[in-house]
Amino acid sequence: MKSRFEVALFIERNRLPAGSMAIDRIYFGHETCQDLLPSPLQAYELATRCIERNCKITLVTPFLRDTGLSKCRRLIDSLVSFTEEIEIVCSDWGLLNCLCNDKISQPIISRYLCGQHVDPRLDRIINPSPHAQHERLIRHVDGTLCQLKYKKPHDILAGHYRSISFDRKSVIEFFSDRGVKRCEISNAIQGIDVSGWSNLSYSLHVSDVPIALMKRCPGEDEDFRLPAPCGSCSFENVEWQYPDLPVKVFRKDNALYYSHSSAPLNLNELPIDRLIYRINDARAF
Amino acid sequence: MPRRYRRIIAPVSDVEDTQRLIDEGADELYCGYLPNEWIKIFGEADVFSRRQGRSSNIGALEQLDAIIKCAQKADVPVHLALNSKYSRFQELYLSEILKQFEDMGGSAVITSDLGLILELNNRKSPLKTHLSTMAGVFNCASINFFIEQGVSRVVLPRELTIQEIKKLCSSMPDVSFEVICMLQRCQFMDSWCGFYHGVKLHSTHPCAFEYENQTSGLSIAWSHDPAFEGHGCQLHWVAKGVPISNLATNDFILPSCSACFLSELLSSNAHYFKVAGRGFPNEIIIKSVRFMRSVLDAILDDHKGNGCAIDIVELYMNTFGTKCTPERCYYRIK
Repeated sequence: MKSRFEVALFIERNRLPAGSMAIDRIYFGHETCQDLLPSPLQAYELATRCIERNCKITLVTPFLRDTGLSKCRRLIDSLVSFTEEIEIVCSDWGLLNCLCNDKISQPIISRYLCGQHVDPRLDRIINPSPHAQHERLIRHVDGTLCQLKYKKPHDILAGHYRSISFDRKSVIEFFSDRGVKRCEISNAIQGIDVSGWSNLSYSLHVSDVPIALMKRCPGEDEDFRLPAPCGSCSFENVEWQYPDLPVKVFRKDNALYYSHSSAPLNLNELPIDRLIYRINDARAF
Repeated sequence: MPRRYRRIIAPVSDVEDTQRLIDEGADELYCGYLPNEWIKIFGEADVFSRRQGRSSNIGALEQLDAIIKCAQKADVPVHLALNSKYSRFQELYLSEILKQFEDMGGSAVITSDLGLILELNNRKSPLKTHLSTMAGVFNCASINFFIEQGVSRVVLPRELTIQEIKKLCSSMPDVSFEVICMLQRCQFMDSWCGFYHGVKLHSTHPCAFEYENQTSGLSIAWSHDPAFEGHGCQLHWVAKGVPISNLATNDFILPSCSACFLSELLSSNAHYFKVAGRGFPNEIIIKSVRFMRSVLDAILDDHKGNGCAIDIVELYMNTFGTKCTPERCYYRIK
């Protein structure tokens, strides 16, 4: 039985996996660092191999400085001249606007622009897991001793934390008029609540949720006092540990993520038609 | 008071501080708003602006009105920070506050939310739109996108280097640019930090919070997140067995500052200089405004050839009681 979901694989370092995999689309590029985008030649070679495998392609792009924007446009222009079917995931307002104005390719709102709430601690606000161990005595500045207790959030607040900024009629119509038909979101642990206005489609990144972006990577041993290792990236995921978090947090290049691959309970009710996996987590829900 | 061309924007969290900030040299003020009606539904976290808590925000319309009226006497505009990520669940509340702020004579809204920008355009609001640093505009094309949507001023991201700021400002001379010049630096980028800003309630020392008296037994304080330990950059992370340090600056003791770069910024197109730290202790804000005013005026006098030199490092020491270090330098921090 054909799944209703298109399956995409977000490859690392622009390297296609060996062997065959039951995937419909390849994501390549970089979400967070303009210096790690592929060159036009690398992108062309990758695109050629994808097309040979009957895989569609999506280029992922990060936020951009002026120099990066020029470089990125050259990359996109070279890819578009090769295949018009390519999608471009945009994390930069300027690039998004340029592609919309020039009617180039199929621009997509990235999960960095969609306005999703991604702090893993939000889960303990919404879901009534045990809070007893954190209920304790605290003292007010006026001297009053108080018992601090957990308060269940209003349904409106819970809905707010599960929703995304992009999911508003005015915003969707604004971008729909400009040719944007797809938005990407992350598999946030507190759950997802997006409507299905205006035939907009959503892609769900299954494996990881980006929490925070840094301007630069830390130096050795995660030391921010040391120079950033630009040009000699280690490409390793480094776990950042903190007690009481329900998820594993790790740094990948200049961004912090958490791992969460359990399916949203309401997946079949959401307007999601594409699932995006990382190479090490290519399994279906 | 004549309006100055190069202006300092200061945060105000309390009606009583309004006049004092103006007297110390603030040319514009900005604030957040968090009334009880919203707290009952949304709590005190950063749901309406990126600053959490009652003490960092104005809590009642009457207070907001009083701040605007006081500031208007000195021809000082007041801007409202609405710089969070909003959802469809908040649209009605936002419309309500926009109307109220317009009626009170507010000047501008500081926002990064496209939905809110579109709302301001649709209602042909008299409020100006200032693009918050939360929007994350790092290139001319991004700035142009928001200018096309009616934004009248752009607050540049803190993560830009001095060279990048100068290049952006000089290549877009018709755009009004604001730079953050003092307080609060963090390794996480403002525009893409997803750690939520909640209210930390300490077990070890007294703090301010709402509580309910009980007829018998202890009073009760409620929280959506009793376990909240701080912003993401304040948590004690460990990687490979080693604590991760230097994620954020401790401005209470040694305020981060860009005073040494003001001269370079002034020679580009940056005309507005913002003191961050909304919700910080009043004295730190007052001192920061006073310090930046002194530096800015001295540099402007120097540009006119009046030869009024100032030792910025010595002034910092005299103002904050501690010697500045390169680690606290806003645009030297890597």
